[in-house]
Formats: sequence, C-alpha cells, structure tokens
Amino acid sequence: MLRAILLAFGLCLCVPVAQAQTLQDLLQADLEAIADPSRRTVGEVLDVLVASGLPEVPVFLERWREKLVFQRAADGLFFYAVETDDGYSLIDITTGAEVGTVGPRDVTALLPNAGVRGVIGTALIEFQLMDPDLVRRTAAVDAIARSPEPEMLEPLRGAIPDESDPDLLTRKIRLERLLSARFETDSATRVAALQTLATDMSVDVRAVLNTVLSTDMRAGPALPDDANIAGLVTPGSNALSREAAYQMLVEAELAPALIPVDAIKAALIAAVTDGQVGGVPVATLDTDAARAAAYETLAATGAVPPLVTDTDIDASLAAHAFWLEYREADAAVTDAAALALASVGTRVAAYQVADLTLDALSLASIYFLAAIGLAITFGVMGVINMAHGEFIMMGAYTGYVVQLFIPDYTISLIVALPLAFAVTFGAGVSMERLVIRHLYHRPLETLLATFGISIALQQLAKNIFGTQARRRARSPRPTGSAGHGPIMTCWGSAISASRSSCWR
Amino acid sequence: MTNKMTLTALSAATFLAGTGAALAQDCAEPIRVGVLHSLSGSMAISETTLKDVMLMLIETQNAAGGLLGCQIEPVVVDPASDWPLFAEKACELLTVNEVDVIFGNWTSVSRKSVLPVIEELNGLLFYPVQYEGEESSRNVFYTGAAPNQQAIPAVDYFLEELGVESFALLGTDYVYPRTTNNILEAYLLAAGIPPENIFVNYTPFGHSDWATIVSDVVALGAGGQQVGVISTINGDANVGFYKELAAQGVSAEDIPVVAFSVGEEELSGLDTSELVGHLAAWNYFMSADTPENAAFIEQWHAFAGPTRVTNDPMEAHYIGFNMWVNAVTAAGTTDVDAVRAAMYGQEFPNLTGGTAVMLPNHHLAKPVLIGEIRADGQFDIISQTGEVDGDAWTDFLPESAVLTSDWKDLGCGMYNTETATCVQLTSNY
Repeated sequence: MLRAILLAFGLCLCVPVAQAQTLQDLLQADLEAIADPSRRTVGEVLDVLVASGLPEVPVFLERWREKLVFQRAADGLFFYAVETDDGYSLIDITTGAEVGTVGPRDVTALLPNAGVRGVIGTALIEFQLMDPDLVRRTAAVDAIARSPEPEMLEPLRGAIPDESDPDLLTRKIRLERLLSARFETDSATRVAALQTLATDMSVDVRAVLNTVLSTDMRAGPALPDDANIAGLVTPGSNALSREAAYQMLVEAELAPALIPVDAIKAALIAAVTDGQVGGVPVATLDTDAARAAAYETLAATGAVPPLVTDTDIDASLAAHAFWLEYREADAAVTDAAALALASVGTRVAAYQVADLTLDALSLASIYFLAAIGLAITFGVMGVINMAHGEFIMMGAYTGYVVQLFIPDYTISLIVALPLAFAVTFGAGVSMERLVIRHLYHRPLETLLATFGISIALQQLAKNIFGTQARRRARSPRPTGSAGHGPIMTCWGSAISASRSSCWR
Repeated sequence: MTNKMTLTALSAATFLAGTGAALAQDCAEPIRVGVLHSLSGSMAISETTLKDVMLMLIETQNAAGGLLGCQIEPVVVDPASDWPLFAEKACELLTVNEVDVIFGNWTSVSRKSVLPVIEELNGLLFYPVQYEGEESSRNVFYTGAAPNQQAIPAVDYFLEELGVESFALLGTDYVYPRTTNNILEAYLLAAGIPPENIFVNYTPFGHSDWATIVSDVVALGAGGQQVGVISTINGDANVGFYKELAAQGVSAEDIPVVAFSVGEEELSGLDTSELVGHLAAWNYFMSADTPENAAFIEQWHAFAGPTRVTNDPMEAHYIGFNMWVNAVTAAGTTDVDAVRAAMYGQEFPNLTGGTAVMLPNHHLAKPVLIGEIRADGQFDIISQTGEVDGDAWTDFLPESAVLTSDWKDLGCGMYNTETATCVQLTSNY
C-alpha cells in the first residue's frame, strides 16, 4: 500500500518535467529551420510554435519578422539584442531580462527573406487581429490581404464589430467581402458578397473574381449534366489545337495513341525476316509512305497497334465533347461572379476611354496654346520668335521653383499660375526692349536673334536645374479607384506645362 | 675660384644626371592604364565611382613599388555616356596615349561599340559589369557576372523561395536587357510559366514616366497569381521607377523586385525608405562580413571619403586589376598576347571570403549573392552560393547551347561543339 502511494507520488513528480518546454527549447529543437529558413519549410516550425500556446511566442514571431532576433555563435541560443557602443546587449526571449553583453562578432542576426516574413505574418494574424495596438491590427489585416485563406474568414468577421478605427473598419469590411466571395460555404451569402463587388474596380477584386471563375479543360464522350460548364471548346480553334485535343483523349484513354515515327521504324526493324518485312523488300522502305504501308500490313496481323490516320483523329474528335468546366461547382456563384467581372470590365474600359480622352485633350491643349502664342506674335508684330518654346519652359520651371518653396501642392499651384505669367511677361518685355526693338522690319535678323536667345535660355536652364527631367509633384491620388487620377492629372498638366524636358 | 666652382657644379650635375639616367633605365617606358568610364550623362551615376576606384588601385600599386619597376600612369577619358564616343576614346587611348590596358565600360552597348576598335588594334579591356553573355572576345576579360552567375539564380530564387507565378521583365532598351530577357523568357517557359504570365517591357535611357508601366505590372496580379519584377533598368531611370512604385503603394512584400543593375552606388542617391525589402542579385555586397572586405572598405574610405560606398563592379575592378598586375609580373612584359596567356588560371582572393579564378573563356568563377535593401542603403545578404563558373554561351537558348569558348586550348571564343569548328574569331558587334 505504502509502495503504491510512493510510486504514484513519484510518477506525479515525473510528468510535469516533460511539459516544462520553454520557447528556447522549442527553437533549439529545429535549429536549421529558424536560422536558415525557407518559405516552403518554415510553416512546420511555425505550427509547432503556435500550438505550444506559450505567451512569448507572438512577441518572438514579431521580432523575428523585424530581424531583431540574434543567434549566439558559441552555443546557438537565440536572444533579442540591443546595440550598444561596443557590441550587443543580449535579452532573454522568455523573461525579457538582460543576460549579458557580447562583442559584435559573437552574434549573427537572423535575416528571414520576404517570403518567410510573409508566412510569419500569416501565423501572427490570429494573435494580432484583436490586439489593442492599431499598428498590429493593421499589420494583421495587411497579412490577410496579401495571402487570404479560408480559415481567416471567421476570425476576421469576429474582429469587425469591436473595431474602433474607422479606416481600418472600412478595410476589414471590404476584406471580409473579398474573403466571403472566395471562401464562404453558404451559397446565398457568397452570391450576395459577389454582387457587392460589381462596382469595385481595384486589382485585388478582379483577382478574386478571376480565381472564382478559374476553369479546367475537360474531354469526354458527352457533355455531363451535373457539372458547372463555362463553355464548349471546338478542337482546331485558338483555345484548343487539334493535336492538343487528341492528346487529351489519349490521356483519358478514350482514343488510341498516335504511333511516332521512331516506333514505326523500330517495329519494322524488329519484324525484318530474310530482308523483307511482311513481303515487302527492305530496300524499298526508304520513304515514310512506304514504311507506313509496311507497318499497316504488320498491324493487320495484329502484331503491332494500328496506325492512327487523320480520318481516325477527326472521327474521334467529332465523337467526343470538349468543354471548360468551372472549378467552382455552384452555378449560382459562378454566374454572380461572371456578372460582377463583366460589370467591372465595362467600368474599367469606360475609365480607360475617359483617361485617354482627357490625356489627349490635355496634350493637345498644351500644343494648341503654344501654337496660338507663336501665331499671335508673328501675326501682330511680324516677329518670328524662335525662343517661344523656352518661354513656355520658363513658365514650367517657375511652377517647379514655386513648388520647392511652398510644400502644399494646391497653394503652390495657385501662386505659380499668376507668377508664371508675371515671369514670362517680364522676360518678354525685356527681350523686346533689349533685342527686338532694334530689329523691327527685319524678319531674318529677328529670327537669328531669337534663335540665339533660345539657345542661351536652354543652356541657362541646364546650368541652373541640371539635365535631368524635373517632376512637378502631383497632389496625392486616392488609392484604390482609378477614377480621380486622370482628372487631376489633366488639370495639373494643362495649367503649368509640366513636361519641361520637351523643350530641351 | 669660379672655375673650380663651375667644375664642381658641372661634375655634380653630370653625376646626378648619370644616376638619373641609370634610374630611368629600370623603366624604359611608363606603364599606362586607360580608364574608360562615363563621367557625365545618364550613366555617370554608376560609372564615376569606378574611375575613382581605378585611381585608388593604381595609387596603391604605385606605393607598393609600381609594376615591372615602373610607376603606373592612369589615363582617364570621359566618353560621356555616348556610345560612339566610347569607340573614339578607346581608339584615342590605344593609338595616341598608347595605354597597355583599358579598364572600362558599363553598358553593353558601349562595350559593343568598343569591341571592333580593340579587336583590330589588339588592345586589352577589363570589363567589370554584369552583362548578358553571348560573347567571349579575345581582347576582353569579363570580371563581371554572366547570366548564369546572376540572372538565372535570381529567377530560381523567385520561383522557389518567393513563389512568383507572374513575371514582369522590365528593362532599358539596349542589348543587355534584350538578350538577358530572351534568355530568361526561354528559361521561364522551360520552367512551366505560361507565356501570358510573362510581361516584357523596354524603356529608353533616362525614362522618367513610369506611371502606366507600374500600373500594368500591378494589373498582372488581376488573375490572382503572385507577381514579381525582374528589373534590368539601367542608370537614372531607376530613380523614377522606384519612386513610382512607392507612390502607388507597392511594397516589396506585395510585388518583389529584383534588380541586376542597382547597387549601393545607385541607392546612395535615392530615398531608400520606400525601397526596403526589394532585392538585388550580385556577386558582392558592401555588407559582406569578411576581413578582406573590411580592409578594402577602410582603404576606400581613406581615399575617397567616409561616406562613399563600395559595390560589385568595384570589386570586379579590384580583382581584375590585381590579376592583371600578377599576369604582367609573371609574363615580364605588358605585351597583350603574353599577358593574356599568363591570365588563364590566375587566382586572386575575392572580397566575400572565396577565391576568384580566371577561366579560359575569359570569365571568372564568382559566388551568387542575393541581398535585400535596408533602410540605410545597404543590403542584407539573404542567400549566398559557392563559386559558380561563368558561362559565356548560355545553355538556355538553342543556338548558344552548342557553343563554347576556350581561348587557351581551342584558341576560339565561339566554338561549335556539334560541328567541331570555330565559328569566328572576332565578336558579334
């Protein structure tokens, strides 16, 4: 009795020791995967770490992703490290306490590449989605957006009601719709989510819709009734060549395989008896047609599989159906996705037309303005101004210089507009007073003089601003929609000819 | 009295002249090294630092006693990123300045312009920059990477490590990006990437309007696959490209970009905060942690200033110049043919802890490094291989796969192994 009690007591003492694995132990168990990780293999060690349930794991994963984890060369243990004047101060990964200091050569930093960092980010999602820190929640949402998976749908839905930041809330709702469109199991909810995507033109929406609508090419005796068919495919068309179609039938064992030329020769060689093959002398078998005919006689005896002629191929192709089948079995879902994609496609095309038109108007108006100015100068004053382009360039550089001093883009535009007029007005007046006034009624001399002024102004600009093209910064565009971009670009360009590099 | 002084003065002068003449006899003619790098124009951002490193290497060698008893005299010319001017300046270096060797060029179009000149005048060029291969000239030693030492391993990394399925091959419009993209396209198709997932685009030098192109690259992901960019953009067009990526909110984790012509020097003129995480593939990074590299960087900072960076073409010049000095010493002369024969099999330690070996096809054995851009403009080395032999004729294009180059034994740079004949002794210009 006493022995039994003692034995039970001893066993109870033994068991807890096996459970006291620290984070360091888990990491040391799989050194290679932590020190030199690969995107394909790091998932396993991450699963182990997350499953352990240790509270230090999320912090470790974050630090690892930010390249703040170091490995001591002497014993291979992992630490966090803070840089000091002459090395690093090591911090224990479980307790957070300072352990000691080492020289810069005694530790190496762990540098996971972008692929590994993405996988770590995915593993961190479940920890960070409800984190009180906004930065962490944003990082979690970014990670979901980057590589969406079905398991994230429910946690994301759970994280929406309590979200306090309005921007992040909008993002979460949108992301939830995207995930729902891809992964939701209930058909009606999924269709509803797809319908809401019909007005969103961004790339990730189109990615989701295209993924839902992805198809496989299939072949068979007849069109199946229960499959979700995207469309029929005719062999011999652009989508499916005759050869590829027949190859599909061969692989599905619905048609005999083609006999390649080498196999024909090999069969004939194997069947040579007394310098003949099936009664045909070998010497006459020097053309493909002769060889095929000899092979046919062999096939008639059943010794080799028969040749497949073009008529045979045509007959096989006609006897079978070829179709594109959606990977998604639910027809309601694919119909909704197709409608949404069509609607998105029309919108994108419409915006592209509008964009092109506005771009054309913008460019044409710049040239038109320049041409009008030149025509007026010649018509009114009889002066051919070869420096006309440089005057326009002056206006553009005025806008650039104003922008250097006034950081706010809208105000700088408002200031630059009259200032450009004033600067070029001053330049025009001074050119007239100093040069043109002496050369009235002498058009060739004014031509020559203004040509010289044009070269001088070009080089002046090159000396002051350098030879690189200068961008006039545009107001920050809203991300996501393509709609506002072209309109704002158009106005900016039309007002202050920003392509100064044209005139060099 | 005056006569005595005159006599003493005269004899002293004659004595000095005699010793002067005796000293000069150790060096019959100074050894001249030509430096043919653009110091103005669109490639100046990349090439000016190579001119500086050549001056440093020559100065170091002169301080160590020069070469064959002579001091080395650098002859620097500026071809101004103008490709025909490169040929003119090369001709000038060889005929007017009579240099014994030229270290120079960056873009492949500049090298192609120089080739006819140096092949006709039997000059010697050390070319330090990664290039597209498909060439093995008798008169050029290629100390930069061939495609199998840079481009192919980088694409492998994209396919395996980052899982990229859709590729955008963006390049500047000249022979290097065009040839490299041909090779990479053939490689990707052989690896099973469908043709509609490969987007190729070329832009002129100095191109600054990237908005449409970057939007097209982003739109490649509309099919749901992971997009990656292979960038062979050269010169200051990179400035606009990376700015546009940042302006459109494309981070390195959304669409990774690996550049073959962006190194520490190009990054030192950019705002790198938005480039963090993007990749570059080279055979050397300044952040390589070896004693040789630390010594080289210290020497460079003492010469050029503490804020200057080092990069892969500088390491190539370091290896090339030292190999040339050793070959000249072994051959006992600067005659081009003798030096060439002495170059084969030359070994010299590189700055990443290995050894560079000059092969008979005029290429080096170099390690392949892939680095991620850090916020301070340096690279984190995330992948490093052992030395890979440079292959002048790529195995991934059918017409090149049969060719091999062996100047030492076969005496031919373009030898067809199927027909066992030498196709031609001059290069394709």
